[in-house]
Amino acid sequence: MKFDVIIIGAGLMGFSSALQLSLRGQSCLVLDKDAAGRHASGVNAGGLRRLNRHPAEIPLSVAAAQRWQNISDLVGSDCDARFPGQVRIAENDEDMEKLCARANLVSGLGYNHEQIIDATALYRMVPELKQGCVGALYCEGDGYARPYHALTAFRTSACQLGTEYRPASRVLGALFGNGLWTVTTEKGSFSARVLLNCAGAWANEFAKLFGEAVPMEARAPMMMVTERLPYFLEPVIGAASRKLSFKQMQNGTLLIGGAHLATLDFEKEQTQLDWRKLAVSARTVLTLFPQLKDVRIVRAWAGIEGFTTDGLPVISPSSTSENLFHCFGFSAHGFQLSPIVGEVMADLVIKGDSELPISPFSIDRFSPNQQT
Amino acid sequence: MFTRSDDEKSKPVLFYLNGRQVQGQESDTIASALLLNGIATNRKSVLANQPRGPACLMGVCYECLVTINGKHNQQACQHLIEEGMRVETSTEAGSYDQS
Amino acid sequence: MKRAPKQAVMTKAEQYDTVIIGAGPAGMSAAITCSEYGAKTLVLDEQMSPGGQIYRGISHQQAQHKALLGPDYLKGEQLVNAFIHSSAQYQPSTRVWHLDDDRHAHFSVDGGAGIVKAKSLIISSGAMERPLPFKGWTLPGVMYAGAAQILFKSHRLVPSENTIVAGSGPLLYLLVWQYLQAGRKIKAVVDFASFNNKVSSLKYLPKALLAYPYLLKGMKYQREIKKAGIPIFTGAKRLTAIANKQNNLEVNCLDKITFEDNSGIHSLQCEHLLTHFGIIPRIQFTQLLGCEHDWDERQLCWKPNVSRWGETSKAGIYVAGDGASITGAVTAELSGKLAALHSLKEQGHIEIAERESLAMPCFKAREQDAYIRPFLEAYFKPPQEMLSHPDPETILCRCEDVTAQDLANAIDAGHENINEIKFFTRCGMGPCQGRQCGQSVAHFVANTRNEPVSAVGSYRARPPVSNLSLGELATLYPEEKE
Repeated sequence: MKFDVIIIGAGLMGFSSALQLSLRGQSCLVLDKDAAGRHASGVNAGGLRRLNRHPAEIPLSVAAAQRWQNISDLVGSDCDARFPGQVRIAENDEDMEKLCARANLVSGLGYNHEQIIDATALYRMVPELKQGCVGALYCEGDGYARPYHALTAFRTSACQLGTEYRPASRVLGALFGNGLWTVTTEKGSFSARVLLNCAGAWANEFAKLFGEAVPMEARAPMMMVTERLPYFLEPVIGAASRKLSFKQMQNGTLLIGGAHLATLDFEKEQTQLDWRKLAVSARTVLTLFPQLKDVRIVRAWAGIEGFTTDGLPVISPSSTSENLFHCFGFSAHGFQLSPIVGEVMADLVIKGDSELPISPFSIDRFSPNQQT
Repeated sequence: MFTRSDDEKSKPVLFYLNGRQVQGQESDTIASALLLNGIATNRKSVLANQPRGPACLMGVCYECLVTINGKHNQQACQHLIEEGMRVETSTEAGSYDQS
Repeated sequence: MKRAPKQAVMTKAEQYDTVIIGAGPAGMSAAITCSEYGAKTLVLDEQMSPGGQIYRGISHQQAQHKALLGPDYLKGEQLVNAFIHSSAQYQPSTRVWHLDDDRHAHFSVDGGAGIVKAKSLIISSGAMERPLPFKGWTLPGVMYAGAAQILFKSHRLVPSENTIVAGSGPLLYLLVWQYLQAGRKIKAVVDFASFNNKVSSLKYLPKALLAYPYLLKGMKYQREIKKAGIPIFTGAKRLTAIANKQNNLEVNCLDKITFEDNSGIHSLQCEHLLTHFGIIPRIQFTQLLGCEHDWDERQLCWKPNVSRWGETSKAGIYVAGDGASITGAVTAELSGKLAALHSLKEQGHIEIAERESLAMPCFKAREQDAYIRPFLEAYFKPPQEMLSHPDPETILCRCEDVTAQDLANAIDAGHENINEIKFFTRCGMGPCQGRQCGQSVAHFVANTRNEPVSAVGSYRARPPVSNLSLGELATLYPEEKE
């Protein structure tokens, strides 16, 4: 069977790319060894965050934020997105200094979405916060959505435009010849002019296949979610000197992350939660919100995600093969970028270039002695 | 309505149910005390806002959630009543677990 | 029996030879045997006092009340006494929320959390009522018959006469009989054991006759219930519970039920509806551990795959009692002892010859106790149609208000497996963590997608599998810094 584009990976990056390519008349096939959103895309924290991004990601993130504001126009669903803002709390003057330096950095780059706010403004926004905090770095319009719903919306709209989706079809190999990619899977072979590697934590295996493995590791960041509570917390919470990302979802549950890692057996795709770290996470939450001590944790889990050594994704054409493009390594902060990354990938495929500054994400940026 | 099957004298325990003082016995859980006092409904369901009452009485259904001394979402069937305890059902205190 | 030492702050896991989860007949029996032969034994019990579900309240009720519950209940007294007098440590009101392959048990108690490590872990957390959704089952006034029995056993509470008992299973008749002993005559029994079930159970009757005491007991209960003038409707189908239509919240609960039988549709007014459609093993621990499970087509439930000693597919981890397979209190006690004996030999407390000689009578007794099972399972097989074809308005996930129609919509929208459906609808994501909906959702998905239930599987198990607050978790590993 022949397509214009074959995409490995039925996560958000894969379907966002498929959607954009389909909008431009390309026929797409999305392949996955599991089901859509089985891994990072389905189980992440749903954060829509521009705040505290690596400067290289800021242009993409700012563009993505605009897409999220009207996401319903793009994918026919609002993905339950909310935009109550995000704060990065300074508990003391030292924290505040760090945050001010950051604010200056960002405004120096010409962006004004990160603003310092004082204690009065902070407590107006987060009245339930423990006493004694001195201020925060605030990003208006940041927020969150529901990841699996977003993924479903991207999948549905891509498929409505003709994208074919095949789960349980692990890709075994891919060869380029006579202007065509032939992709072999456990459920048969397919061919296309163009191949996209959006395989998340498994993308490096494919990159290796094409002679361009990058220094990336699969890791399993942990999350906890609580029972539903009456609504008391508007903005998403982070803290300048703590590993914490904490929000109250649309349905009243609290979602607690902080990038603490579980133990991962990548081969078996099994994670073992690290309760030491989860205990630390619980203490962190209670330090900032002591009144939550009796709140019940309903579920804890870890998702499998790809982390590059520099924490930046790979969004680029292949450095070794024709008509091959890579899109992976989002290091636990890809969700928000997904609508814009799909546009970038479509631009790369069709025009050969993107208007957004993506050279920091080039696959050949890793120095030779870093490559595996 | 549930009633005691015998008049065996067991130590009475006085506690507060939605601000009103009621009586149970020493071995009563909050759930059994609620039912004994004719209260079949202790909360409303999270989305459809429908009344719910205890279903399993053994801690696996999580329907019997009440507020105990200010602590929310406690299973009434897993707590013995205590002298002076303040128990609130969410049908009286407002729908606690609405999203 | 010693109460387990109170751990103020959890820094490292206390080591035990054997940790037992649950203090019903299986757990108590295992604890007695383990401690008798010198194993350092700890029993972690969710309940406030020993006895599990079947012997609930036995250690604190008066003799007069206990006699109402029948001779099987009284048998438990001996076992509970032996347990209390054993050297096993007992920790009640304890929720185990995580287990791992290295046999660490994480638990919460008294506002804190703790961890113990065991050489052998015996899971005896028993069974629970089979959640079988029907329209209106979430109304206040509708509860499980087992729940009503708990109210009776532990609190000496009986419902008003305006009570109907409905479903399929020996517990229905036992409960109604127990109420009669207490002087309470309820309104009606509605029995869903179908004619087809009865016919297909006949082939197991010869073997069941070998266990005639069970059969005689059942017949006695039915006879006395009929003699008391309580109507028994048989061959019932399609149960619904209907609310009072008024707006006043206290009044918006159960008002009447409807069901069908050969003579047509019945509508009966009642204040209480006590339902029972059998019991199923509680599998949250074995699922969390990733033990192998089999789908039992006769009992219509998942069971952990265990050896005759109770060993699961995980080294050093056993299941004993109704948590392995629904086999009743007598077998639970025997299985508890067998698991204990196996672990004692593994730990070097007894030699293999001693293990074999102590085990042999247990295996034999267990074999005999099993004679009745195929007959009971066939006779009381739950009404399949109610499981696979619930009314679209029926709430399948009680915690999150997800109806059968919501699930049908999710499947239509392309969410194909039970975990995707869970993500999309939130069924299974509420406080009960899928206990009340996991199997009925699996049945519904299986039927909608025309797949066997065994292929549909279960929700992916995620810890904590029982109550754990942020404050309790925060007490673990206090030395660990951010």
